[in-house]
Amino acid sequence: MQHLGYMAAAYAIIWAAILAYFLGLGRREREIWREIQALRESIGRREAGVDSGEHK
Amino acid sequence: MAFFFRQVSAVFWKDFKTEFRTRERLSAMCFFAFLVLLVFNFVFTPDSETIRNAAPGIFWVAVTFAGFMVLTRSFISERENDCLTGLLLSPADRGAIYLGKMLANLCAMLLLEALILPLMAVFLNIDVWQNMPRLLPGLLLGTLGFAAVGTLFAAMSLKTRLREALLPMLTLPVLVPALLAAVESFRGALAGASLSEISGWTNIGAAFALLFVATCALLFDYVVEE
Amino acid sequence: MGKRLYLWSRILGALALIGMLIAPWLALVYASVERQMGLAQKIFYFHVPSAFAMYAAFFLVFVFSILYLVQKKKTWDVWAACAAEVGLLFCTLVLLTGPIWAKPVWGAWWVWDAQLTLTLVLWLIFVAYMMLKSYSEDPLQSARFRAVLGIIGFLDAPLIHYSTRLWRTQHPEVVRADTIGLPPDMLVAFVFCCAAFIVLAAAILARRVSLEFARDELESLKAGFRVSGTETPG
Repeated sequence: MQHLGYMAAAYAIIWAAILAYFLGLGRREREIWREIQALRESIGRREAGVDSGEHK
Repeated sequence: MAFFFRQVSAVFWKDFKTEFRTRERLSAMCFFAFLVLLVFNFVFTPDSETIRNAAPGIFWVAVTFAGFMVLTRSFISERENDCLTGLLLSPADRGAIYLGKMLANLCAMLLLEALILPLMAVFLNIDVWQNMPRLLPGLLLGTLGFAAVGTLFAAMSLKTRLREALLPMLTLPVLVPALLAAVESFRGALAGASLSEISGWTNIGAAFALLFVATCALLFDYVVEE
Repeated sequence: MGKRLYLWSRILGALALIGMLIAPWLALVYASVERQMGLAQKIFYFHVPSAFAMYAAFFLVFVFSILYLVQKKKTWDVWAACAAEVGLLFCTLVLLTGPIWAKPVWGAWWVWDAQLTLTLVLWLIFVAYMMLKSYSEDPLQSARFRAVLGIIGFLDAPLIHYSTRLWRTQHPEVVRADTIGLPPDMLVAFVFCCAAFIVLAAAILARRVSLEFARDELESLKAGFRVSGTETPG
């Protein structure tokens, strides 16, 4: 079991980096969804005639 | 084709003349290159074998950093009074404008090298004169490669928020093969190698210069486009 | 375009997940342990495929950059920028796993070998690419600048490789592990890992691009909403 530590470190780094990138992607995706949700709400409010240009 | 070269030479002479009338750029950068040379003398032990081995590297570091000043100035002075816009509005080919400016920068840098080579010979105690014929090809090709990539990137970096601070960060990584070729052929020439012995390095320098003079002349249009 | 791409990103993502579950098993369990380097050689099954994925991504940056400059379609710019990001991710993986493999085998964390130097310089060029993206004042201009750098960076790669090779042959030659012929079980594991990494890179790229398209669409919707909002007061 020569060099087990090195191998474990290399594999751990690869998985960690890919995972971190995916988490970053997920975060950006959620942000977009939140904005879409906000947009939907303000459109809904406007169509209901309640909103009067309060949206940004 | 003849018309194209007339445009190139017109842009070249314009830059060359404005430079020589003010001389501000040249004197400042020569002083700067000289300072870099001196600093290296202080950080290494002078008169040692180490510094003589490092001489090609020291020379090219000094030239590179002073070169960034040359490149930046050549576009900053165009920006004053919107000179670059005027140049671009003229019917001249964009590739010709690039080549003209690139050649002017090349000349300024060669002049700088001509000034600091003797200084280096004196301060680092190396024999430059004797090795001149074998030194020259590597020197010319390295400077051409630097001017080719640098002129394009200078036009680019000055339009970003970081301005000239971005120039070295863009240029240095791309310049690795050219610098390596220039330093190694310099080292070979100083060590007394014949031209054919350092041809491996001069070939890389030539390939780099040719490839990027052509590519950058084609790409310049997209960089200055509004 | 957007919907089909999203579908593709899902399909590729599922394939990549399956591949990346089988790949470690093949690499760690199925392939036999190399006698000289021991377990350190196992890094090879992930290190080299990462390098392939990186080259593929940077080649795509080159192609999309040319397409963008010729056709001036924003789509190509989005593809190029996303491919650069994916390429940088795999380039970072190569640079991180390289030293971990080099230390037990060559005895040093970093060796100025041609391939290592090329990877490092490519990494620097594409970090500059990312800086160009964040420090630009005008998005159209930034797209053109990045395309220019993407083209130059890719054209530079063979020169960097050739020059660093010439530079290092004057020094003691480094024993290269991957030039040794691979026994069949290792070859199977290696080829599978390469395929898995390429699919993974494609999946990440598709996901990243579809995300960018979604953001663009959202921005234009918001702009449209703002305009219609000012036209209908009350």
